[in-house]
Amino acid sequence: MPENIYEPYLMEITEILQETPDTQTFRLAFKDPSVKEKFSFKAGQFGLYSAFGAGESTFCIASSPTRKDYIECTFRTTGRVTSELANMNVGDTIGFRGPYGNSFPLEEKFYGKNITFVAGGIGLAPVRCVIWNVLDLRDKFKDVHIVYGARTYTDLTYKHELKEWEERKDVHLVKTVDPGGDTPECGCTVKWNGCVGFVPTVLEQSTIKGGKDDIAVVCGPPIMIKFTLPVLEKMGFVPENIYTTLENKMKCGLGKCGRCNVGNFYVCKHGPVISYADLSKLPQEY
Amino acid sequence: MAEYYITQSKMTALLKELASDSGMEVFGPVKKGNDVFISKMDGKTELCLDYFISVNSIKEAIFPRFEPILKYKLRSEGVELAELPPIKPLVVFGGHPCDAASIPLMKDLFSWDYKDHFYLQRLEKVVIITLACVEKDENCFCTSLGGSPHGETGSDILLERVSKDGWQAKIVSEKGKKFIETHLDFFRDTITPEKGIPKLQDKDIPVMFQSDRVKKWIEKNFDHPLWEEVASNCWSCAACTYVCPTCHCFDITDDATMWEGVRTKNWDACTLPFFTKHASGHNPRSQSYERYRQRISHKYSYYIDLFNHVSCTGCGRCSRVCKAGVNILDIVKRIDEESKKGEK
Ligand SMILES: Cc1cc2nc3c(=O)[nH]c(=O)nc-3n(C[C@H](O)[C@H](O)[C@H](O)COP(=O)(O)OP(=O)(O)OC[C@H]3O[C@@H](n4cnc5c(N)ncnc54)[C@H](O)[C@@H]3O)c2cc1C
Ligand code: SF4
Ligand code: SF4
Ligand code: FES
Repeated sequence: MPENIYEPYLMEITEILQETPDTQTFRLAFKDPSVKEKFSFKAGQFGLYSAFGAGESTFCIASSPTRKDYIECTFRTTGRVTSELANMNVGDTIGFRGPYGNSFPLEEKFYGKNITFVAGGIGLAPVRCVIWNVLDLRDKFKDVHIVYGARTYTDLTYKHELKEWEERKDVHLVKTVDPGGDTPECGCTVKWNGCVGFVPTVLEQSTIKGGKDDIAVVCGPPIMIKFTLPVLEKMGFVPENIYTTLENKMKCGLGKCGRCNVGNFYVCKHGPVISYADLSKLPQEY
Repeated sequence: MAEYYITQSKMTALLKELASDSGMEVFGPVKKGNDVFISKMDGKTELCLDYFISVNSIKEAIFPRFEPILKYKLRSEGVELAELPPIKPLVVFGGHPCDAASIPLMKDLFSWDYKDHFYLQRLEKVVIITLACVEKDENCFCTSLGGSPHGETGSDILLERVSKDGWQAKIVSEKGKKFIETHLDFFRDTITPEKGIPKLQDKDIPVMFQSDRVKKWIEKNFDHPLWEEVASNCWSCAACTYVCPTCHCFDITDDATMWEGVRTKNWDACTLPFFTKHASGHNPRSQSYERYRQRISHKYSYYIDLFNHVSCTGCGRCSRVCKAGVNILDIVKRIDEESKKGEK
């Protein structure tokens, strides 16, 4: 660790995948082999990625900690830093500080349980990290369900991996697009074989049976989360076993800049992973 | 133990001498318009010694408004990190005990798990020379938070006025002792204490609320209409946070040419409208009263959960600077009243 806590590791972009028109996945390799050697993280943690000259942005680490040679991030172009990153090429250098924050309690709470992942849009990025972590240690878990939706076919991220999960016998994937999202006008280039409907509705109609010991991981736009929670509870999931990640604006990631707190909960230090039982105790400032 | 005294003229001469040394940074009270600010001095700066309290706090010196935290060169072969200038020793003169009391609070934050060496190294290298208070106004409330007009917390040397022209210097820390020993010539005069020199005792600033009662109320009343009532007049200008010795929010921004760049940590404020705005456009604190509620709740509740201390020293600066009439003491007193009502 450098003495300067704000000093990023230098990383080379080794692969770029255009997920959707405004979303890309970068595969990144540490330039310094000794850092690569020592670096480790846990599912759910995040980092600050910098485009030198433009600034830093917060993204989760979207790859699984079980894949050790690289890290990946998936980001949507929304502003100054993400636009700059979006213009970069394979071989370019970016900065990375991290890993920061807590993680999903896989060993402590997920082992031996049925796990249901529910994600919307780019919310699949933090969930994907856990999905691969779980799949790479598949025998430690019972049934694994994934419900993933986006506005349109075009907006679905990780399309190649959706296909892989669909083909695997040990995962059940339900994919969906919002009504109208499966049409050619929406960029749908295939015969859509998924569902059409909003994530919470599709979840409710699915064959997934919840139970008080089952685990759910939910990430997506606030509106999706809002309507998904009551559905999960109706299905039998309990708030202690429903997890999400908070995405408050961050700058330092280190508990110093004072930006990310929800009450006395510092998202960068105590989060970003939080259960609904804990979230409901905090003021609604997220 | 030996007694040390220093006259005003010797203090001025000492600070000027130190400020002419380029290896050092010296901060002292300087008059701008009708107000006095703790400002960075050079050998020519005119000090102002006739003032009640500076508009800004000594935070300015130890946690600079803009601080380079990374330098880099942009080359065709890639990015190369460059060296940052070393942190210089510094002397800060002219704050009061309510300034210095912020030091341990800020230290807790900047060493919370991750050590911010910019702040912590400066803290190791600074000599803080504090003036015990001889005046107060209606905004002062240090005693309600465990402070005192002659409190020593956070200082290296405390100067207590003993004559019209001079102070007795009390050594508070090892660093303070070393400073006096190094500059003994300036501290040699013996000043006979004069009668009638004003001195402020703790009892001159009565305790006006109980901070633990305030915390209890804040914990339970996030949605209370009081917040909107007391803080909706806030203009979100952030002046209160900039003058505050304990406000520490910052932004991190890059500034670069084609060839090189610098990343800086610069003061930001929870009362500013865009502070928490998400990239999606969603803003968890879109109203000015919601932001001021954060300011108070952070200081009087969340900080205690994290570091076991209220993050306010009762200096009253935020109330003095606010032209929208938002007064922290009035608000905290109101909360204390509400809390008392609830207890019954
Ligand atoms: C823990 C955590 C994990 C996250 N994980 C991810 C992730 O995996 N992937 C991901 O994509 N995001 C993620 N985010 C969100 C992500 O951090 C932000 O979307 C991102 O930082 C935006 O960066 P930016 O610098 O490009 O935007 P900024 O330039 O900072 O833009 C921010 C603000 O400026 C506004 N703005 C920017 N440009 C314009 C313009 N031209 N016109 C008008 N307004 C404008 C935006 O609306 C926004 O309000 C995460 C956030 C957190 C806290
Ligand atoms: S409280 Fe006063 S000084 Fe502070 S931001 Fe609001 S208007 Fe400005
Ligand atoms: S909040 Fe106001 S009174 Fe308290 S330390 Fe800051 S400026 Fe002083
Ligand atoms: S991001 Fe700076 S305190 Fe959390």
